[in-house]
Amino acid sequence: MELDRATASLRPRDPWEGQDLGFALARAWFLPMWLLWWVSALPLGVLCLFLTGPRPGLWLLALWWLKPIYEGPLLVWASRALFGERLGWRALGPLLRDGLPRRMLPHLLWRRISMRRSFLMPLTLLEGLQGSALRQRRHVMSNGSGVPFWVTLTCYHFEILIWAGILLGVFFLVPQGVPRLDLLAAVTDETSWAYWVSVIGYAFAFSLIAPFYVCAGFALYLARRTELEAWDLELAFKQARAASPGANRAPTRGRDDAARFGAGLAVATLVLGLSLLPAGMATADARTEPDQARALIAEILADPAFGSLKERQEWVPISTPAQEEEPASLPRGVKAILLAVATSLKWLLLALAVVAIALLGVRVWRDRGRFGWTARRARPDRSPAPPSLESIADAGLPEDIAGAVRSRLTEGDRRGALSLLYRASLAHLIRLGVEIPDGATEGECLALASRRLSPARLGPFALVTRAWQRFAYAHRLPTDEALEALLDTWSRWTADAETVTT
Amino acid sequence: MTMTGTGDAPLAIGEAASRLAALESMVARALIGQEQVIREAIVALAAAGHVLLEGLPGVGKTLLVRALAAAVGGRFSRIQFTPDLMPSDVTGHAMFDLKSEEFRIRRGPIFCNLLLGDEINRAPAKTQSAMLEAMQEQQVTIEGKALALAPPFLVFATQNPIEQEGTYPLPQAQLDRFLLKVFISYPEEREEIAMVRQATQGKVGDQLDTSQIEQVLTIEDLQAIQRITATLQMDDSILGYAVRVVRTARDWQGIETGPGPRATVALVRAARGHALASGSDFVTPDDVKAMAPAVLRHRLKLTADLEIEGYRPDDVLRDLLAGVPAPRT
Repeated sequence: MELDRATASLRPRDPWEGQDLGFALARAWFLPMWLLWWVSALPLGVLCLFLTGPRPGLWLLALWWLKPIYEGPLLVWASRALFGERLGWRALGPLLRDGLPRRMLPHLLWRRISMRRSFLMPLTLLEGLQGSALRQRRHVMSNGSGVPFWVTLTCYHFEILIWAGILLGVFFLVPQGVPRLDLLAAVTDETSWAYWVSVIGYAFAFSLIAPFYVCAGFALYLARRTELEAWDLELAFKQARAASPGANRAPTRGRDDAARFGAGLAVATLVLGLSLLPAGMATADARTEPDQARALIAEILADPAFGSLKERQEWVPISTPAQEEEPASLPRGVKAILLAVATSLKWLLLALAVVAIALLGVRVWRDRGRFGWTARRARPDRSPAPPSLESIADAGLPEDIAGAVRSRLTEGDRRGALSLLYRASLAHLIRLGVEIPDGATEGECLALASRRLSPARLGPFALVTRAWQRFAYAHRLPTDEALEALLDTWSRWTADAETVTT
Repeated sequence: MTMTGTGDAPLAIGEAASRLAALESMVARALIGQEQVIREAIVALAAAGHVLLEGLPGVGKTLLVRALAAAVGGRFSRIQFTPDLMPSDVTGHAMFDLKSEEFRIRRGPIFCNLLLGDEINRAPAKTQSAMLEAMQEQQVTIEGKALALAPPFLVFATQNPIEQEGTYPLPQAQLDRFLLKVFISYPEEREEIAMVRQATQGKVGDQLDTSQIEQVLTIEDLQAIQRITATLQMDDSILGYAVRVVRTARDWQGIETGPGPRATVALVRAARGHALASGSDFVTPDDVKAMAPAVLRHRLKLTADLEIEGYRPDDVLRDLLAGVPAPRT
């Protein structure tokens, strides 16, 4: 890594300062990164649009979820730009390829919701680590700082602010005569054009914030590596070497101090080391006995360069230092009992928490109607219940309906005969494509069938319905002749329908 | 089945149904484009139940009742409920007659056959209670003397859903006294054009026009129709269906307080009235289902979250009725 080519000063920074560096980089590189965001995200957005169809909320969710895919190229571009390499449009292909994580699935699942995503993204994209190596590296890189978390949270909030600003801007600045944006519909009514304005505004907010988010994470990563690998010292040595006699390169302007310091340090170390080395050590195969080594070390440490003992006198107030009280130690038995009680309480609390979560789950499931997860919820625009062909079929309709009805009539079971005829008529209607909800009454069944079917296809259903109603609710039996005539008409009706179907 | 109608002539079910149909078409002359509302008002007349009419100002609440009164005959009264209305202004009071030197009962406007209580929610609770008690007991008590109201006694009370400031909303127990709560909404454009044409053609001023309403029923006819309605044939399965509908409403998610058994009684009565008004001599589940919203909408209280979300009882009832299996086969 050619650290001396870095366009930003690589020096130890605390995480907050690192974040500032990231935002400064994003400001400097905003336009190319913003354009790169659109180039990366637009194809995905169009693809998502085809997949989600006219459901803007789902589309926005998909676009949000796929951020790790189209933010990667921004990071790769920034990493090259840090070392002065501005990738142009010709490098777009490799850039998009390098910006894609090798193992995509974790990045779209559990790592997607990580609040340190921008900080950890360089480990996979720039260092190319996977598996256990990545885990170890993440462990090393994490210094317990909460800054990556706050960067993510802040960026989310800024996205919301920009989105709200866009919506309010459109709402207030649209001139009279142009359809006004309905703010309520923009956040609630997925079928309205205002909702589309809202989600497109949100996607625009994604594009504005993404360069800052990526650069902030990248700068935090740089700050941590500078801290771990002493990049600043390495840089200083390099500059010292460059400034030393015989080197071709002159130190660049602005680095004179560091170069001077590095050169001095290097020369001092070299001179000191050489002067202290015994003659025998000049050979590669020379061996030093432990006693000799200890003496040598002591001799080196005695050098004033490694410090010296000084005596100094000063006045101090006479006072008795407060006696620190020893913490009262508990008897061993009591301590064990307390520990046992505390452990029991811990497990008890855990068990209670599990039970509470389970109860909450049961309660939520029972009250799912309140959350609109069930069909029992009152919804004015709810579609009708599905057809209940199964419930009718459950009643066990015989193959030969007319024969079964005649058989029941012969047995004197007129109610059974009429009921069978009516049920068979309903089943036939459902086969003809009429949707009949469970709660529909006879009159509603007739109305539904009349709306759906032509009078010819409706056949004798009105007569069957009327006969059934008069019998079931007024206890008036049709005459045998009327019933036989009805049955004949019904048989022709179903036979005609089967002919048409085949 | 026959019942005594005008004079001593028996009134058959078919005749009763045709007279109700005539009444319906007569009222429709005055109130254009509100067929559902007129049907529900006719059902209430047949079932001898009181009606709470709710609608925005100017949709024809008062006109409906005036047209009904003109078509039925009998004695009609109208009370405009105001915050300073006293119970005695409704029921009547005892006054000392100086000439005869004794107290004389002066009967209030409630002594009639058809009473229009305009904007009932504007009167204070004690005045509302006086009238609602008379609706339930069919009698009023003045100076300790019980005076029966001549049958039929039917109340059509109106209220509008807006301008709730300074009103006294009827409590649930008193709402239960109304057989039906009928909503009057705006008419369709075509019907509104016809209505405006009729209301402005050669008319001076803005008084309600019921001049083209002719009397098609007498009080005796109405009483005979009510008796026929009360005895209309109803199968046990229909009764069971009505009970199931009401009981389901009690357990339905989204309903905080469900309707009581009086609602089931009202539903059965209204279903009988609907069957007769439809020209049928027996009740079907369709009659129950058709009347369920008007019978139940004022007898249930939605949960707070549904109310906040803007749901109305009719939305919940629509789902409820779709979910209760009809006694089909």
